Amino acid sequence: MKDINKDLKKMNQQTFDDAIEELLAGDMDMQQAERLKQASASDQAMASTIIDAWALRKGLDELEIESVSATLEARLLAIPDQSQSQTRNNRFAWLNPANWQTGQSWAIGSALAMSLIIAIGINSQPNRAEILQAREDIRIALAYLGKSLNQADQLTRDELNQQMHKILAGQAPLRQPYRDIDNPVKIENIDL
Amino acid sequence: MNITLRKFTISLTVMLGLLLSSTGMTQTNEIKKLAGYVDFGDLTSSYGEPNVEINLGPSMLQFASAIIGDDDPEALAVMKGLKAIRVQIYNIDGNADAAIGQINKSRKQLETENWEQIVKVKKDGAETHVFMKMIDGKIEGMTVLVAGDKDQAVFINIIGNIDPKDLGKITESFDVDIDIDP
Repeated sequence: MKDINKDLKKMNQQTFDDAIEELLAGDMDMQQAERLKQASASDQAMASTIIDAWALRKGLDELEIESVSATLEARLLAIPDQSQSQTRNNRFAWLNPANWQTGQSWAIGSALAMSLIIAIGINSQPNRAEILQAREDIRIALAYLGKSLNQADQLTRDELNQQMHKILAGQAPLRQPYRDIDNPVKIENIDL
Repeated sequence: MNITLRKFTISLTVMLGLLLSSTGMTQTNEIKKLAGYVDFGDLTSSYGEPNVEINLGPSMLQFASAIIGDDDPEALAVMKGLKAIRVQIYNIDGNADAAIGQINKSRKQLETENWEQIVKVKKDGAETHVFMKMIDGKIEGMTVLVAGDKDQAVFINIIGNIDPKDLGKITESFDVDIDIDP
């Protein structure tokens, strides 16, 4: 673990890029995976990059292999072998379907991606401050709701009281026609 | 690659997809599809940004409900029935025309969607409307539209199973002060 922490401190952009390339190539071992996991624990962007690399690796693996047409094969064979192609082959070895059978490195990469996905998932849960803000928001929403309903209720009661007083004082008939919108207060229905 | 390994990677891919899709944007779109959702329109061109804007989805509501705990099972049950709370409050500065126009637009929309209007009060240029959405005898949403009261336009939408008579149960749990004067 000491070595890992030491490596962590040293991890710079170049070593990170190398690690990603190894993940893409399917050459990652347990120690490298652990290093990446530790390094990305406090860096969500780094964790996302690792997950993207792993997804790319997985996508490449799922590409269908098609047989080459005879004419294309003939043309490819006509291309002279070049010395630098060997280096390039090493660099892009992971593009070779024959190398995609590296089950162990796949499992390591997948396990790393899995742990990072879970970590990001956990991080996406609201923190304490957000929950406290949500509670405050609920309080404000309920306060406005209660206030609005209370006001509507009070207006309705006031109007009913006024009408009742008028009826009892003989200033209004017991049966009144339905009032239209031009009146100061219109109550169509209330059920609180 | 052997079959077991392939299954493993497919499972991981599915999990990755699920996690990436569970963003806030997705949740907002899901809320819009609910029967109790009400479109408040946009009054920013008339009144500027709302001075209070609250959008709480189901997950945040459940996290926030943890404050209730098991001490008040009735309040907890009410909170569990909620899917979203949305509030928009605008300062209308004495000009309720745009707010009343939006309320009328929302009312027409609610009527076509078979919402029941349970309160309609108009007095001195101020209006209060309360609608409820019922499906199979169950409340799926409630909305309160107020314009012209104390220079404010208030739009509230509670999505989920909420009965007004149960409001008291949660207002007490959240220590709500009804007499707010923002």
